[in-house]
Formats: sequence, C-alpha cells, structure tokens
Amino acid sequence: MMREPRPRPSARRTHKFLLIESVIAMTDRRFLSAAIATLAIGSAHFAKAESLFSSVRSTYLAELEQTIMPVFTVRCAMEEGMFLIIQPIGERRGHFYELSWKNRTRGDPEIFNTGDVFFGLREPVSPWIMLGGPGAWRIRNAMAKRMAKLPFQLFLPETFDRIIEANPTTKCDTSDPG
Amino acid sequence: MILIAILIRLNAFASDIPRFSELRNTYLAEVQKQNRPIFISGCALRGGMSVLIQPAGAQPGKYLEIYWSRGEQGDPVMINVANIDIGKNEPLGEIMHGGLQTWRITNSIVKQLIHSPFQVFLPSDFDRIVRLRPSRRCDTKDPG
Repeated sequence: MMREPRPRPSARRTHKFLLIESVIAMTDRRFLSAAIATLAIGSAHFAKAESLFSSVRSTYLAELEQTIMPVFTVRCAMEEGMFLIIQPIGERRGHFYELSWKNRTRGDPEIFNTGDVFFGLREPVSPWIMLGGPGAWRIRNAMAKRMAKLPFQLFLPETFDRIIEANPTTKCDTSDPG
Repeated sequence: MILIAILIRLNAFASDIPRFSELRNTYLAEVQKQNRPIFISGCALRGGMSVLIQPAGAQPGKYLEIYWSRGEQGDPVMINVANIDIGKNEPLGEIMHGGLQTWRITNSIVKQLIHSPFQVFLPSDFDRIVRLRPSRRCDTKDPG
C-alpha cells in the first residue's frame, strides 16, 4: 500500500515564509508603519481605558450641534458594549467607536477603539480605516464594513443625546473575516 | 376639436414633468463624480415612492416623488422634486414644489422619511435607485 509522503519540515517552513513574504509584499511600508503606530497608540489607549463617550459628546458632537449638522448613525450591540459609526451629513469623514458598558460611569460608556471611516467608491468603507486596539484591527475594519450595510438612523442636533441612550437591538456580527 | 385640444394639453403637461434620468444625469452624476455615497430613505406610494437622498458631505439633499405608472421603461417620472436642507432648524418650510399632493402631506412624508432608516448607496450603485421598492408605505394622511 502506497502512503502519501508527509511534507518535510523545511517545505512547511517555506510555506510560512511565502505567506509572510506575500503579506509584506501586499502591504506598503507606509501602511505598515502606520499600522504599527496606530496599534501602539491603540494599545496605550486600551491600557488607560479612561476615555468616556461624554468627551465626544462635549467636543465633536457639540461642534456639529453648533453648526446645526445632523448625523447618520449605525449601531450594533456587543455583549458588554456596542459599535457605533457617526457620519455627519456635511462631512466626508465619519467616526467609528467601540464602546464598552463594563466600567461606565452613570451611563457614560468607555471608548475602547476609535477610527476614521470613509465611504469609498466600491467598498462600503475604505479598507484602510486603521483602528487602534489590542491587535484586532482586522476584525474592527470588517465590522465597520458590515455595519455600513445596516440601516442608518438620522439624528438631528437636538437629539444627539439619544445616540447612546439605549442599547441597539441589532447584534454585531463578530466573526473573523479571515 | 376639443379632444385634440385636450390631447395637446396632456402632451404638453407630460413633457413638463421631469424624468428620473434627468436627475441621474445632472445632480446624481455630479455626486458620483465627487465620489460621494448617498444615504437614502424611502416609502411606498400608490404607483410609486417617495425618497429622500442625502449625499455624504454635500448639501443640499433631494426629496423626490417617483411614479412608475407614467414613466417609460426604466425612466419613471418625478412629480415632486425639491431641495432639502435637513440641517436647518425648520427644514421643511422650503421644500414645497408643485405636485399631486398638497404641500402639507408632502412635508409630512418628508418628516416620516427623516425618522426612517437610511440605506447607504455607493456611487457605483446609483442606477439601482429606481429599482428600489420600499416595503413601508408612506402615511399620506393630511396632518391638517
């Protein structure tokens, strides 16, 4: 009986090297350094984990409120928090937030991740919306793309306080895009 | 003679009504050129639909009332077309244009659309707008 020969360890190593090489070849050096920088910032931010959503409310949203600019939002629920995209109607750039209820203070969630979101020509969101965090930027990017396909809700400036008032009913699809 | 006069009048009326392709070739083409996605909210009317179109990062948005029944294949007519600035404190005062419905009802529909879910359309998908068939019906009651 003929047995199929097992791949030699060196061949397996070659596969690994090929994979790493192709990943490096696909990514631009600038992209790589930006990724590392953002991951570092994100990790530091994660370690501190003291940024609360009220700061976004009192700065970014307050500014939009002053210019009477409504925002489109889309949210989905996680086990102990939610993902949120805010897209002002007068701006090209939106913002992505990963919020956690775990250590909230009086209903004010912590911000675990933030990032910029650009809706592109063919993609629901640009693939380079680099997000900080504990190494899971790929999942966050995929999450932003999935969320862009969900229905958005329009909030007028006088209703901004309701953006994080209640937990969203839509559950986030957190599967790894691979 | 009377019949001919009516037919001429009807023909003139029909040619006055803008078609969706005009908006597609002007306003939407410009938005597409700027590579902006649009947010759309819609509700169904008898024989057509009302939609609110808001490009990301550009004003104004548009309110459209589209009817299939009077449109040519794939190019429906738009009974109402109006600019809309959602950001203003009283956004609904300026949007009224002529149409089959009273302006009160149209304004009421716009309010409904503002509070309805929006869908993102990428610039490559703009041609799909006329194929939309919203499942939710517009409330066409006169708010008085």
